[in-house]
Amino acid sequence: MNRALVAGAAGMAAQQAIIDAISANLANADTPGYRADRPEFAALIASDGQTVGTASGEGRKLFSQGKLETTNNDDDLAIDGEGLFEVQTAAGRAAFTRAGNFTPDANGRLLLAGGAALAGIRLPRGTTQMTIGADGLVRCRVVGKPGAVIAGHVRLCAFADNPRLQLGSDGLFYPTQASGKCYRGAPGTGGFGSIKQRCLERANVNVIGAMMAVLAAQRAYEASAKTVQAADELLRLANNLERS
Amino acid sequence: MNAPDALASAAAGMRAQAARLDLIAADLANAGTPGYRSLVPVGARFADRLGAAAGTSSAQGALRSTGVPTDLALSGPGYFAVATPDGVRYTRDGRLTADPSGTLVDARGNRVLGTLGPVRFPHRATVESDGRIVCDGQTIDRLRVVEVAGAVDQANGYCVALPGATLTRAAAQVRAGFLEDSGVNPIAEMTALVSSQRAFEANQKAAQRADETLRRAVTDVPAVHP
Repeated sequence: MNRALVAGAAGMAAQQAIIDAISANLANADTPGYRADRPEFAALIASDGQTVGTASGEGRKLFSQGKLETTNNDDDLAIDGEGLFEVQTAAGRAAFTRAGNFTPDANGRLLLAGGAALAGIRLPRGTTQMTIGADGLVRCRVVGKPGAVIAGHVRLCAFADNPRLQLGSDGLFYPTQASGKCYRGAPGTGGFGSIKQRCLERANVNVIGAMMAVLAAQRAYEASAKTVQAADELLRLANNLERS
Repeated sequence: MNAPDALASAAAGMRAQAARLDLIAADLANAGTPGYRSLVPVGARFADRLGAAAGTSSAQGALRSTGVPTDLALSGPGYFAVATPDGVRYTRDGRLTADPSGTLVDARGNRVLGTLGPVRFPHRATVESDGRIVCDGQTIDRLRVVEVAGAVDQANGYCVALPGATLTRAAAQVRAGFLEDSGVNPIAEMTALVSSQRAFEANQKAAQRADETLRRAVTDVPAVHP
């Protein structure tokens, strides 16, 4: 009976962890470039039902392609395929992201909402229009200059094990020892995806699937709660053996 | 049956139902664990079942597509072999990943075994349905997928082949990009939960009756025949 109590509690904790992961995914279903957590990695229970832990490399992320959405905004970039944008945070740290909702600042840098700047690009003063090719080459039209000016080259990065990147509180990925070696390359080469300007990549969250998973997890939670109740009932009956 | 016998068998019945509840609770806790096989009481005789010795059911869980190339599911009987600090263990949980050194590991970070020891899994490798790991058209290893004939025990979430068990290569197909859902049948488990609870209650009532009978024998009988 005690084992049943412990197993029931472990089951409830595991389903709770799964629901937590799914709610994080649903909360970010509209965040550009968000990478979904894999709820099935949220909890591990031994088959004796007694031990609960998280899978190694907690909160495994799913690095699949999200839907591309045309925004017709010149500063919006999306990656169609493998790879991450390299950005430099306001504090000067290198970070990585799939989000491409950039806005240019007065110094010609392309900034994310948190102030991180896209690496490898600096728009010249007086830029009127920016075009980024699928290969990442940035061409600008500048006031007073004939023809296009090359303003940099957007490169993409990938790690040996992307899912083990650490997700910072700013929504950017930071390399860890477990994520392994960083590979850099031009878009469209060496397995990297191509760059799509005027597009944003939506979160790779399958909302309907997530809703279904929440329902299933909720029911599984209830089932485990019922086993706790049943074990409690058995203990009560055992205690009532001695009637006075 | 005299009263002390009735007490003893009611106690055994309660123990058996409590042990059954332990198994049900472990199963329901794992209703969402990929590759989990539900526990079944083993032992042909009633008395053997009292100790809650449990084997695993061989019911196949449903395969669910995840699209992740290192998610593997077994279609058919068999287990993946995993090297744990306690020795080789077996599991059907195919939540695998490649670690930074390029070795295939399970969800707990233990190395998955192939014919040549731990399986190397380079970036662009794929897993074929017969368990071969193919990279750039070359077969580099083959997953050890085994069937265990004989006693299997569960410990710490893995299956253990007990001494005397024979291992053979399993005919199971390896499906990459799929996970096997937990083999737990929630309806059957909930039904068993209710029935074991009621059976426990019935045994408790029987124990109380036996106790009452004994009490009467001790207090009333001497009063009638002084």
